[in-house]
Amino acid sequence: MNDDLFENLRLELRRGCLILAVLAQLRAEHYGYTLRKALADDGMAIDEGTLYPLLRRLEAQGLLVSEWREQDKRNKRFYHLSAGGAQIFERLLREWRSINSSLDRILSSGEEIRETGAVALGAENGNS
Amino acid sequence: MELLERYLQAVRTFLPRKAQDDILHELSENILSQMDEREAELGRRLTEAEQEQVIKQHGHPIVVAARYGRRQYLIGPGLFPIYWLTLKLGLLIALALRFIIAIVTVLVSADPIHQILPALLPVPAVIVPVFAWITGVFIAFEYFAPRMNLRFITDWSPRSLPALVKRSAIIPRADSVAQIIMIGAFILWWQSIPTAPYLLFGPGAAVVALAPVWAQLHWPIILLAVAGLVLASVNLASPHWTVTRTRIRLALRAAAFVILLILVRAGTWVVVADGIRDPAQFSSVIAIVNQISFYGLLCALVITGLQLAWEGVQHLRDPLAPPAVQCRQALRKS
Repeated sequence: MNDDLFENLRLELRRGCLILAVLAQLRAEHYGYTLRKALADDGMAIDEGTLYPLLRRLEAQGLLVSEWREQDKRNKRFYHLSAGGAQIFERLLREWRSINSSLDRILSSGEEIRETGAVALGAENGNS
Repeated sequence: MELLERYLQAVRTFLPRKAQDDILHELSENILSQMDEREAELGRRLTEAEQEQVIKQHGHPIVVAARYGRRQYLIGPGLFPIYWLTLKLGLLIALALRFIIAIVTVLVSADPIHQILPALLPVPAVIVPVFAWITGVFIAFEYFAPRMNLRFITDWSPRSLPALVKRSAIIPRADSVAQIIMIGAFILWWQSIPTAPYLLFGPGAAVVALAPVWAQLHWPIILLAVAGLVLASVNLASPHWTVTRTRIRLALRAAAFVILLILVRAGTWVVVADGIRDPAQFSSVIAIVNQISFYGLLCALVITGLQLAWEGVQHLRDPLAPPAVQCRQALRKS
């Protein structure tokens, strides 16, 4: 049960980050397969069944633009950030950094409380 | 590449018609790129098993195609809690109403005992249409909501919410459902007794019959039970005591007290059944049953009278406190 719960929460946590990672990678042009490889190489593995529909959705929302082009004797669909997509990406990035720093502050204050508590408990035990 | 073609054909079946060619073209190119790279790594052509492995990584055709769908849900997470609450309430109210209609059908029929099953059996069938209608309305709502100007979602104020209800005044819905079922069952049983006295006396029905006082009070008892049924249904729909409902409940208890009083004063509650050749033979049995009935009815009268007096006094002190809670609170204090 704990494993299932962890997996659900992990997927939920990753979902928003995936969009950010895809937008970040598409500051440079990629087609589906190389994009997936680039994400995996940077530690953000994503399965095909999730990535390709996501690309189409982001394109339908105007964040990406795509074009069919021949490469290695094969037609491939290349994606990159649109002008609007680049703006949204910058805003999302700021939001993500703000969330990250907030979380860091919360975690470090939590550690301080734990340490203070441990010191106080140690002193109490020493007295008794 | 027959496997790939078969895979793409299977995915095509489930894709939206307009986007089929575009999606399949891209999917095919991506799978082929993956296979090319794998072949470059191995330095040879892929076997059929290896091709199968690459294709399988993309997922089942139905799952792959479904992910390209515009909408992955019929009722979204924002609307779902309201849908779930409406569905539960709708089903409870529909079942309660259908149950009441079944009881009324039995009451007005000439042969109640044989009407009970035909009237009760269709009751659960109300679940399917209610579920379908509520779900359908919410699916439409989910679809059209972005285009609708839903002012009640944005223009609201805590002041417009229902008045504060005391926690103690809340009536558990399970209690109301249990009451509806029990009172309904009682009405069906009581209405059937004149035509099927064995439901009361068992085999003794051949010898013992109800005294005329019961026939006089038959409809008042039915009316009292129906009123209790209606009150329980209202409590189910709006599960908290109000001053009006507390008074109605007191009035129903008073009516029950009056009926019990009339019964106690009647003096005779059972008689020898019609058609018995020698009634005197059973006179002692009848006397015993009447004696037991007297004590039973007297106990019921005293208990109902005490409850009525207690709840009446408590209601005068605090009209908003519900009767059952007043009793519990008083017991706790003592």
